[in-house]
Amino acid sequence: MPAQAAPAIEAEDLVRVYPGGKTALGGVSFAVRRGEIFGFLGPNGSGKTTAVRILVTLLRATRGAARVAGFDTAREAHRVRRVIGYAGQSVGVDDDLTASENLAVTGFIHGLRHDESWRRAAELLEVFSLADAGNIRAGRLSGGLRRRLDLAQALVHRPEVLFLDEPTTGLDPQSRNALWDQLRGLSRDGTTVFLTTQYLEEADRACDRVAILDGGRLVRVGTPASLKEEVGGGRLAVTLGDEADRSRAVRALGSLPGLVRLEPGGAGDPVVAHVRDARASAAPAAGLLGAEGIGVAALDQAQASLDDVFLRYTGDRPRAEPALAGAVSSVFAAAHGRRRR
Amino acid sequence: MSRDVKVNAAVALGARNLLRNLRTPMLVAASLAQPVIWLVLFSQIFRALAGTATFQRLGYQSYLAFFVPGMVVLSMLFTALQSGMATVTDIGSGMMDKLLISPIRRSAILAGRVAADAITMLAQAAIILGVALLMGGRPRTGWPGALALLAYATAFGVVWACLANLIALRTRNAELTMVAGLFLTLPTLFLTPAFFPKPLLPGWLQAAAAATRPPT
Repeated sequence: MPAQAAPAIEAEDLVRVYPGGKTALGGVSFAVRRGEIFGFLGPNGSGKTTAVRILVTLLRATRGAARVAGFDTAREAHRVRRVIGYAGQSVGVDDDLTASENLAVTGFIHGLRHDESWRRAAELLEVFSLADAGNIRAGRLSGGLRRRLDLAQALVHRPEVLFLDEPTTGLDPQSRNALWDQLRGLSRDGTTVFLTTQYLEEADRACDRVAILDGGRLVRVGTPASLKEEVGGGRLAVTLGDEADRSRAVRALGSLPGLVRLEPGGAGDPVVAHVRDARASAAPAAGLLGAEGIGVAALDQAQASLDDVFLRYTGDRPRAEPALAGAVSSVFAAAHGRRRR
Repeated sequence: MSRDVKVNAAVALGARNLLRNLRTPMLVAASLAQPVIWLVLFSQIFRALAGTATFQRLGYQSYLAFFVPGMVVLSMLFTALQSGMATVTDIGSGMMDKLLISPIRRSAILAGRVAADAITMLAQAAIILGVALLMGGRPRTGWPGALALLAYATAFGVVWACLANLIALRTRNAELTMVAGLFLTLPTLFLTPAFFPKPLLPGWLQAAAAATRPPT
């Protein structure tokens, strides 16, 4: 953790039970560093939005505490509101105002001065490629443009900590890439970005760290690379030119750098080497086999994606290893009849 | 002149709400046409009433002149309901969340809404008065009476707008806000001497009116 003061976001054992007894969050703790891009991943109904709404002071935690920029979200909500920006799942733009009016009003209510608000409005219209839409009422813009306007609104007042609930939903690939570029730029300038997303590939590329949420519990937190390594990282499949070479090939691959596990396979199967990083191990594997004079018909490589990680930790099958606080949550689940996804 | 000034949140939101109303032409047209239609219809339907002895003893020259204040109040009630529905729309669209995560005082959200309502209502009341004047109605109390009517009606409308917003915030449902609002407003409206002079109301209704102390 850098030498800076308080983390941008801290959650301590956050619990949220909705009226009626449904537990949306069953005790979630994490910390996000300043300037970090932190992704919250999880299946539908896993509690992502509930967590975001607590952090942006729209919802009170039933138990536990959360701090944003060092301020308590319950007791110092007014201070939290001075430093955050938020774009929720529903597009919060005023359809009867023009795009630039929407941005300016956001500036006004966040305490920007009159001129500054309009200046920022003009700037953000450029940044989000909305310049042509500036004088068009938001209600007449396409869904994607409205979404972009909504995201721009969250940035008008240059918030220290930005919360985005599924920001890329409804955007075309160009806009998504543009958004990620922008978020990375903001992060470089010190803005902390907390987002939820269903697009794991994007989270993989853009997030410094991700947290996987399932059934209101945090099951894993880490860098995308470390989580992918946990589920086996890469996979190299060597199809032998001559079946007689199998045992020699297995022995040769035994000294492969980054090797996690080797599957010798039966006749006709490829020899499969599980490695940390498939790309990094592919050339050494070819080298080792070549040195032994083993004929290789095909060498296929595949790298684990965040999807594999996601499915591993949130899949339907019973978990082999109990996740954090598993016992407590099982009690919750039993008590409230929560279906496990 | 420098315009590099801090913008009051309630003023900004009030302006926003007014702009919204003005940019919905159907809304503007409906809220202008409706009072005119009501005025014409009611003054025709109940014209005979103006001939009765009781009515004349009260000193009204025509049903139109008698009915204008009631018509003004009725318009205020409808605008108040619209105000509640607009709040529901803001909640549903995510706009309210945007306001709630900003550092403005929570009261500024309601103040901005009701300030816009007050301006809308004042304009509506003035238009109804103007139409009534064109139709030949003359306020018995003269100009001071007409101005007092505008002020009273707007204040009354603001109270009802607050009430409609309370229902809206509680229910977060447009239909419920409409139904609950109408349920509260229409029966109480008929308890008042808005359509019929009090002495002409049935006895039990007079008693009920006295018991509930209508605001008009």
